[in-house]
Amino acid sequence: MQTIEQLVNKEYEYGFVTNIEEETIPRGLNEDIVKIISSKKNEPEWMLEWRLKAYRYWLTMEEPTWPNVKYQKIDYNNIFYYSAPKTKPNLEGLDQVDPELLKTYEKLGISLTEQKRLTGVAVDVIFDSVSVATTYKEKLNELGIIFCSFSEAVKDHPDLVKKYMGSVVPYTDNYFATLNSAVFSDGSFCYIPPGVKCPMELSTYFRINAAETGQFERTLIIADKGAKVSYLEGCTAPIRDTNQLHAAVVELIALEDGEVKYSTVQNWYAGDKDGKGGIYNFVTKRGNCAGKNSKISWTQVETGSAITWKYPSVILNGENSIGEFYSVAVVNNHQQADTGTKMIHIGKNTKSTIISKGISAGYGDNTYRGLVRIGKNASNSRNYTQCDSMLMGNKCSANTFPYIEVKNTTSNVEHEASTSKIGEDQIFYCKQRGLNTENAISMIVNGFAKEVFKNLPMEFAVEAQKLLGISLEGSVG
Amino acid sequence: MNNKVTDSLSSPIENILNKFKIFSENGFASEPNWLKTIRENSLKSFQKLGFPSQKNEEWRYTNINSITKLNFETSSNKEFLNYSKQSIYKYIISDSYYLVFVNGKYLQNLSNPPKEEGVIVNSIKDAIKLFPSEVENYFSKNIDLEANSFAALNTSLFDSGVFIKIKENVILSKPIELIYISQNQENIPQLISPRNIIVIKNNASLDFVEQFVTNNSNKNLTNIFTEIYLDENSICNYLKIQNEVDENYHIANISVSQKTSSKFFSFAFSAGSSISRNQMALKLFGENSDTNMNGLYISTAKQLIDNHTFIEHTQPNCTSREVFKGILYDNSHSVFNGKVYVHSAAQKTDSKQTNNNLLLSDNATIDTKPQLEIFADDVKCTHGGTVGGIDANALFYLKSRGISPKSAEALFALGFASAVTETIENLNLRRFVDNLVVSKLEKCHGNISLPIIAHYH
Amino acid sequence: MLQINNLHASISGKKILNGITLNVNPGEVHAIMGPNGSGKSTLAQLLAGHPAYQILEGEIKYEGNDLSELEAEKRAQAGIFLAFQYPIEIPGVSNSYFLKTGLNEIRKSRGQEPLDAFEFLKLIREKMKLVEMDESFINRPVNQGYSGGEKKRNEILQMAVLEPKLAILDETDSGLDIDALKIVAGGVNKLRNSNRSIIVVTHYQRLLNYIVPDFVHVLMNGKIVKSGGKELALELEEFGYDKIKVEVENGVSV
Repeated sequence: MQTIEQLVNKEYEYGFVTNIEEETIPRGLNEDIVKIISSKKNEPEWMLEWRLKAYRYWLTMEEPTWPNVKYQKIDYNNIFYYSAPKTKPNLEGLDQVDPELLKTYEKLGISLTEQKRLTGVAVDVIFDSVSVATTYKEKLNELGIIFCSFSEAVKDHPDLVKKYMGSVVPYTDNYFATLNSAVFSDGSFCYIPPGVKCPMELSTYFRINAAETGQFERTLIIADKGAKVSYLEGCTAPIRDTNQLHAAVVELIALEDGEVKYSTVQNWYAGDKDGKGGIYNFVTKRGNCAGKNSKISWTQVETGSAITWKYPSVILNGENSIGEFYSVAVVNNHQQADTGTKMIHIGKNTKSTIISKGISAGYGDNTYRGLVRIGKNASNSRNYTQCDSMLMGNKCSANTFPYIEVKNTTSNVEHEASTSKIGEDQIFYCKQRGLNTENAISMIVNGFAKEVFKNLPMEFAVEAQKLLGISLEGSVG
Repeated sequence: MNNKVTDSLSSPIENILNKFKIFSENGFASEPNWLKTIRENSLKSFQKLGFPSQKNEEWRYTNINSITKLNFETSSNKEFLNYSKQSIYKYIISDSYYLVFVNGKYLQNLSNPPKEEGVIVNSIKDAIKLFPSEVENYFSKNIDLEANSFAALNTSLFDSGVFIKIKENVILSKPIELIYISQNQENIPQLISPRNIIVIKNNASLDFVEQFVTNNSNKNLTNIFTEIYLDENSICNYLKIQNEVDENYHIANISVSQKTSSKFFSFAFSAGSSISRNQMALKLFGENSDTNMNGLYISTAKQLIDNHTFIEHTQPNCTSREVFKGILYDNSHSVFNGKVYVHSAAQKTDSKQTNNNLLLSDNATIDTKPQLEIFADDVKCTHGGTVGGIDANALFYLKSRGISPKSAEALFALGFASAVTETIENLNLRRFVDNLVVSKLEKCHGNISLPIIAHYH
Repeated sequence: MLQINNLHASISGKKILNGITLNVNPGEVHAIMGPNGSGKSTLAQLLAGHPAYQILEGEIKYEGNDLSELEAEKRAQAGIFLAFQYPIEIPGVSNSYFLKTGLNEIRKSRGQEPLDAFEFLKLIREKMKLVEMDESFINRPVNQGYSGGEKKRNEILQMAVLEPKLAILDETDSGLDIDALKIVAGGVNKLRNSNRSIIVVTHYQRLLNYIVPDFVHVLMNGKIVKSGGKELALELEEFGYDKIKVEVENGVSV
């Protein structure tokens, strides 16, 4: 009889390398490198100043050791901090994009050509350190929506960038965010003017291609008063033996009545089944519900990366503001994930919801770490947290580390967590009703993660469900 | 930069090193070599670790700066003659054996030790002299002294405490209660380091109480370390009452080892001291064992009450249940940190952990961290935590029945507390705790009078 | 339909079945009775292809083909259905999605077109009437939060939807009160026909008042020790298993 263990692990689908001539700068990190990155991007003086301040501050910091992950010490002087396709990245139209690149994205299922574009989704495409294409730009312009690469924003919208960059994640925030502030390459920028509801999903697709290159993108999204936007982020990288660092920063700002929904399907290369290679995904994501009645919602499906260290958070400043975090994190083979959220309640009547579903298989370590802090003045605030873990096999682990800090009597915080297993008996039951093992596992796991999936935009939900099935194949014994 | 050189002789750590040196010469010089080595190594560990700071994740919420700057006296030969039966009567739980200690010193004339067959009760120092190898078998077996600075400190300096052994098949008829009274000694802060070892052999059973109280205001630090060993099929009901006045300090390490089919039920009531920390680490070494670890903390004024629990499942088919509840008033701060750790061999573990907090002042802070670490897949583990004020609907309901808001709040708090005190099985023990809870809450709610909890069936 | 010849089987090294021989023809209803631990549930699970059991000796033939190498889902697709003694919970997966996926897999294996959502909804609504189940169960997660009776009814609903050729009901009566028992048995009776074989595994005779068997077999220590008509069940009810045990020990003919 076929056991589940015998099912073959499916290869990482996106592990190919694009043969394109890339321009890199010397390895290592020093003030000159920071200056070179800035000049490559033709940045104004103030931007360089900010980078240098961050770099100098970074030198005084120590790499954090509290996360529940283990990895070889990173040699920050042995990384390339900038890599870009040689063809001119600043494009007028897609016909100027290198055909190799177009092919790459076709393979990844992201079509950039006019005819086959994802309908209803505008995409900004980041290849290694630069943005290579942004679709539907003009259409969005008509509504006053700015959606462009971060580099363009620095040039074309310096006031907005100066006002909001670092306002949620200051350059002093933490080791990896500070490093990003010094050397960030590109990313997406998006501004929704007052009262405008963005008519389509905005999306960025990140791709690491070059070897031994760090990717440090920076995303800034602002929903002005009464504005609404839904944003999707996807990521892949080729299969390589060595680990690669990805240290991104994402800042979200929602002003009065503004709403930002940010969804991620993270599928960076996770390393092979023995734990060799893979991406270190050390990311700082934070939103500021700055205005009354604003709302920020994070949804993430984390299936990739060798190590994931990220806590998409919401600072609930505005009265009646709402923060949400929905997460599915899957670890298989030797993957490690220490992920969760922080909900910082400052304003009155603020509400937050945390739903976290962790799935551990193989030798994977999965940790939920979440902070709920209710400040003294956050009267009538509410938090509800639910963390469920599912284990497959006996060599993986599931950890739940919630931190709850409350200073207000009229507030209410609830935390619930449970651990269950995917059982032979469940699989046998499904098989007895005619399903094969793969379908049975996929059905059980998707049932477990259902509450999170229903918060993903349609296009993503389908992809996420498929991904989940793939990441876990061959993992139940 | 101004390099301020601290006078090394007056630093609290140096003070302890000096006290240890004196103690090693005229205190424990005659002890067996194995113990002397452990004492010396423990001191080295303490020296290396120092007092824990908030940078240490396990002490993240617990600031003990006011303790670490004190220069403690660690032992004295003072005789305590001012105690009478009357003065300690209120601490005695009815129908129990009791041993009374003042600043660690045993008061034989006031004590009522068990005289039943099958029970051995000795001071720890006598036990080391009388049966050293037995003590060695049960000494520091389930604790990492290199990682726990207060346990290391206790181990290097202990000069009081008891060794209790319940022999095979013996079921003790009454609880054994240890009453620790902390007393002001010429305004010099005392470091009191009792060490208790409790051994319950196969099929034996013991109800065991540790009660900590104060006679008068003082800045003493009680740093107690109690080890409890449950052999196969044995039962231990453990009650800890921490009710010292709110100027002194209390740190307790309790380490529990459970063998196959044993049952351990504990209840920790914490309401005293300006800073107190209750650190319970329990390890399930045998299959089919049960653990119930419950507690209630009530913090007032500027108190800091910290409960740290750790339940480790190493074997299959064990059950653990944990409920801690807290009520916070004034500017107080409470911390709960509960960890359940399930090893990969511990299949069919059934574990449930709950921490509920009632926050009754906007100036109070609760930090709670219920944690799960699980390495086995066929387990049933849940944990939950809540923090909230009094439910407005419940309050309204009580008021609509004519109860004043003040009484309604107090009643609500009492109901909240009694839902966990009712888990204490021995009725005498439960009554004793309930009375403490009622009088504490009466004080907290403006001296109103509350009914005695009616959950005796 | 089903031939079992001299079947010996074990679970994790422990031998449970000690030479079972049984022949079930289309349209027949067989009851397998026996005291606790006699191997009844093992036989039921083994027929459905539970991976924990090992066949040591003997064979199982279903429609003339050897079953032993067939995965559980292939058996289901071939028309074997097991109503579980303890139906399994699958959180987050709705009853209808679960059953539709199963049904369409089975249909695919038979070369039939899959049912779309509307056709399936019509089918399941119709079948729910058979076991008097409330329509809210269509969207409730599989067996999660159901009462014992609801779980058992859900099993019979699944049987009605999947239309098996051979249905094995493992202690379907356990944990049911008399009203629920009547509903479940009524559902099963409506599914009886001349092509469908049913094996009823039970400890008590009670269920057999409502699902009247053609044959009754008594299983003890992993062996069929006595076979007969429906009157054998009544005899067991009256005298208990001890009498048969004594008969077997004294070598009275089977």
